[in-house]
Parts: sequence; C-alpha cells; structure tokens
Amino acid sequence: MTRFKSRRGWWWAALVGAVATGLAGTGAAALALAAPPPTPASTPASSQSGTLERGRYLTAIGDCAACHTQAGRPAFSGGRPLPTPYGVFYPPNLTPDRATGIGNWSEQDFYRALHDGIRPDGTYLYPAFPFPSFTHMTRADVDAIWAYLRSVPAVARPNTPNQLNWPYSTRGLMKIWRTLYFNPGPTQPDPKQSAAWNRGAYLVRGVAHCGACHSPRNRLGALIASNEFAGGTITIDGWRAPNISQNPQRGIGNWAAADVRDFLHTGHSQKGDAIGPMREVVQSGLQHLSPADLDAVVTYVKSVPSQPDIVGDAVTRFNLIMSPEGREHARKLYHTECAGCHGDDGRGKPPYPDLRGNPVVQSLDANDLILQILNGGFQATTAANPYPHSMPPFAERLNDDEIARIADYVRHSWGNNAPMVIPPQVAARR
Amino acid sequence: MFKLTWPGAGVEWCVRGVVAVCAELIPTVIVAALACGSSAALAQTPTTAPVPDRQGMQDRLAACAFCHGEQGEGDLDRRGGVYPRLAGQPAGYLEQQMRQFVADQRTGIPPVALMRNLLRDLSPDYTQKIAQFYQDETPTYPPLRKYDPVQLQLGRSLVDDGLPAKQVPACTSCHGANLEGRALTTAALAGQNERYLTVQLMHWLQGQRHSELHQHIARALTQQQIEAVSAYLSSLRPANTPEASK
Repeated sequence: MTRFKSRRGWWWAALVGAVATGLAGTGAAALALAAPPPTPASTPASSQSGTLERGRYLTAIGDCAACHTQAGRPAFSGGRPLPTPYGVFYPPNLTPDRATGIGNWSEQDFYRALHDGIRPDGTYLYPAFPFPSFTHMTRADVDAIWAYLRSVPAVARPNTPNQLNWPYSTRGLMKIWRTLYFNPGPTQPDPKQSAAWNRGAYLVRGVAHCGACHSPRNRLGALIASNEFAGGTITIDGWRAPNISQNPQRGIGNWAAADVRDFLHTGHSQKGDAIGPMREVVQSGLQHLSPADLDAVVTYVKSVPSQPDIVGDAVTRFNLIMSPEGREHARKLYHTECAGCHGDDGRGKPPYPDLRGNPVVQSLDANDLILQILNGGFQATTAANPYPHSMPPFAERLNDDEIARIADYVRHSWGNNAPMVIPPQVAARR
Repeated sequence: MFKLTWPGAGVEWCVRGVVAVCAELIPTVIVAALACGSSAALAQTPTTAPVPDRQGMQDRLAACAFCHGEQGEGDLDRRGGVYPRLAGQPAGYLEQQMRQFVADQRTGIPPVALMRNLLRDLSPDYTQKIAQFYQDETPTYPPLRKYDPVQLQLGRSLVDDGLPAKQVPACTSCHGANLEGRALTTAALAGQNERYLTVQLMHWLQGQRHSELHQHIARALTQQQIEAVSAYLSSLRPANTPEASK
C-alpha cells in the first residue's frame, strides 16, 4: 500500500516558493518542461465490449459526470462551475469532439492525465481534478474508462477558462505542489489484508476518490494523509462531507457493516441517509457497485482507523451550553416539529433515520445539520428505493433561533455531544 | 374548445397561443431528452419495489405537504398564502413545472430555491407519479371569502373576454372554457389561490417565470386588473368538487 507522507506545515514553504516564483516571472515556462514519468505498457483487453462495459461501470463509480456535466447539458460536455478557495474551476469537455473535447487525445494521453496529472501539451493539471486518487488505478482500468468516453456522443462545447486567483492561476507552480504532495501510484496490495479489503481500498482511494471530499486538505488544497477520511474541508453547494472514519461519535464507528452497505446501495440506512451532494453520488455512482465490489468497499470503510474531526466553526472554540429553560423550549420545539418522524428518543421511525451517533448530527461543524433542517429533501432515488420518502424544508417555517435550538437539542440528547449551535450560524446558511 | 372572444381576433390568438405553448414546451422537451440521455449512462437495475398506493404517496410527500397541504390543497392561511393548490392540476403541467424548477427556469423568491433542491434528484418516473398523485386528489375547497362585486365583475370580463384593445387574450381561450386546465401543460386556474395568482403575474412581469404570452399579459394589465383577475379566478369552483362548510 502506498503511504502518503504527512507534510502538514509545509504549505507555507510552498506559498513562499509560489510568491517568489511569481515575482521572478520566470517560472511557468521552465517548470512546464518537466519530462513525463515512464508509464507501464497497456495490457491487452480480453474483449472490446467487455472493456467498454467495465469503462462505463468505472465511469459511473467515479461519478465523472458529476463535475464534467453541467445541469441541463449533455453528459460529459463540461462547464459546471466548481468554486474553491483558489478560484472557480470549469471542468473540461470529455466527449470525443475533436475541436473542443478530447477527440484528439490518445489512450496514452488519457493515462498520463489520470496517472500523472499531466496534459498532452505537457502542462500540469490542478488537483481539483483528483489525479492524486486516480494515480492508484491500474492501466487496464484507465484504458477501459478511455474506451467508454470514446463511445459517448461528441458534443461541441468550448471549454470555459478557469478563473483562478493569483498565484494559483500560474499553472507552472503545480511543479512545486507536486514535489511536495504528489506520490504517483499505483497502489500495491497489502498482503496482510484480505483480497476484499485490498479491492475496497483500491476502489475507495482510487476511482471513487472518496477522500477528495471526505478528507481534509491543507491550505494549498493537498489532502492531509494523516487525517484521511476525517471529514472534508472543501464544500460543494455549501455542504461539507462528514467524517467517515471509525470514530464512534463523529464518524461511522457505530454503524454496522449492513448499515454502510444499505447507505451505499440504496442511499438510505437506519443510521443515516445520503443528503446534499452525496445523494447524487449514490444515485449516479455507488448504487451501481457490483455485489462483490460493494462488500469490498464496506470491508475497507469499516477498517478506516478512528480520526477526530479537525474542522469546526468558530463557535466550537467556546464551551457554550444552553440554559435549562432554553433546553426545555428546544425540547418542545423538537417534540412538535421533529419527533413525528425521528421520535422523542431520537431513534428514528423507519424509514426516517436515527439521530443518535449520526455523523451529520454530531459533526464538530454543524454546517450540514443546519442545511438539512433548512432545506429538507428527498432520500436518494435508487433502484432499491425508487420512491423515496422526504423531510420537509423548515426554512420557511422556523426562524433562526428556533432552528438553532433544535439543532443544538439533537446535538446534546440521547448520548450525542457536539458544540453548541447559535442563530447566526443558521442565518449565514439561509 | 377555444372560446372566440372577439370577431377576427380569435383565430389569430388561437394561432399565437399554440405557438406560445409550443415555444414553452421546447426547453422542457430538451431538458427531458437530456435527462434521459444522462441517466442512461449505466443500465438501470430493474426495480422490484412496488408502486406506492395513495397513502404511501402521501407519506412520501411530507416535504411537499409542508407548504402545499397533504392533499395538495394549497395554503391560504400560513405565510401569506403564496403556496398554490396542486390538487386537480393536469399532471403534464405539474411535471413541466417540476422540471423547470430543476433547470432553473423559474427563479426568484426563496421557496423557488427550496423547490429546486427538493426536486433535483428525483427520477422522471417518480416525478410523473408525484404529478399524477396531485392531479387525482380532490380535497375540499376553503370557504369563499367576501368578494367585492365590482372587482369580481371586472375580473370576470377580463378572464372571459380579455382586453382586445391591448391584445390581451381571454384566459378561457387557452385554459379551457371552465378554466380547468388542459391535459398537456396548461394550468387549471379555477379555484386557485388568489395571492398565488397575483404573485405569478408579478413573476412573469419581472422575468422570474418565462412565457412571452404571460409577460405580455402582465405588462398590459394594471395592478387593479391583475388583482381583479386573481380574485375572480379564486372565486370559481370546478363542478363536482366538495366545498368546506362556512
């Protein structure tokens, strides 16, 4: 198993380097000259249709369409804005159109992009494209994805240029970033673990790139390897992916393997539902995992060592608690508005999930809990649950104070314990 | 049947109406086609789950019931009564509107953003079943409020005859002689929420809903006329629907 080296604290060195290079004004061209690392030769595919089918499967599991398709536009034609702290990325057109897509690429070009993060013209890809995960994929799997993408309809849609802030807009600086943070794969199997575990690790850390959202990043956007799966730092549509390590309080340590399995396959488990962007990830990707791959992913995820949450709101620095009168008011609100589905004991009445030991409820950062109460929503629509149940949106019904009280109540009941929620946190997310 | 409201103008408005309806349908068809295209990326696993019965749908649609009522009766009392009655609306119209929320073709006040978030990941099949559920519901209407007879008279003449001088067609020419809506994508207006109707005309005026025809209508009418139309439409009751006792 390839081990990422922890380089926390190095971001400043990179930043200093970035600024210096930017000022010198010499860097970009010279840095782009880096020679591509040698790549292993392609293994011949057993049959063309089998390769295409596996490519289609892997493309779904990796949910390439999520970033490379704009709502209401043809699949893989790119352009969906991806706002980050470094500026806005516009993922490119992946269809085989020659002028605007990747129709002029070769199989080797495609492998180099996924495995090394280098474009055919030799320039570097930003890690907004999760090549640090895809580098763990085998050549055969990358070629299968390539074969599938060659088969989708070509769409002429010119790429939108990224709008990145300086100095991140200087692509050549990725040379420094790569030296600091990029370890090319592929992952070597761990002989001490089972075949299922190794397959799960391969899928989770490779094509499914779960860590891209569920692992924290440092200030230069590199995943912090020592805190893998401790919950994300970036947000997507305002949602922040929770801790999925075996931490029993903030993560999924008290979920049975069957709960994880249900969650990934149907979008719903008695311990919690797929909400926010995860709903789409399950719908278009994970629900399609083959039974063996699903078991493998569950095996690996259940083995992730417990990690503490490392991302919290400013409020988490203060040890605030609600007054007894405030708590009684909150209990009444919860009883009126929530207990009908989640129960006065918080256990949840199926199909409505348990709020105890639920990572969204107990995350150090109350962001997703507040968003869920404000917006509500349907469970994922999957083959196993095609007519899902829903939670009402409380945004129009309750004020900031009431929602903060309810959120705080569920974070301090039935054994739950997480920092206090205050009304301004709710107001900021309306 | 189209009601011809004035000599020589009826045919023209029929044609313009059909053109306008077709124009409104184009984005919907494109979005639907794209939705089919992208969801076809992986062969759908055949589902064995049974289709929910009426009670099952009611349980599932708790999020909708919050504002639109358990049977889609709409909301007249809470939060300003801007939530429309969905019961009895043609399923095709409801489906079209749900798709428009997802495609950001309806914008504006916060409930619209909430609608987008609620509907964005529903399958075409489930969307259709939800639309069908509300079309088939027949909840009681709320008791009529006290209307000003002069306002009602103005509203009735605008609804039935339009405003030929400003090229405003009669509502009845597209929405049906009894304003019960039409199968494809034309809304039922009879008995709709008064406040909701007024707000929708404002939305067309401000470009938050997109329809050239309705934007033209909203521009041509005064505030007083818009309110009269909304009042009159809300006072109508489709035949054979129960009404709550006063």
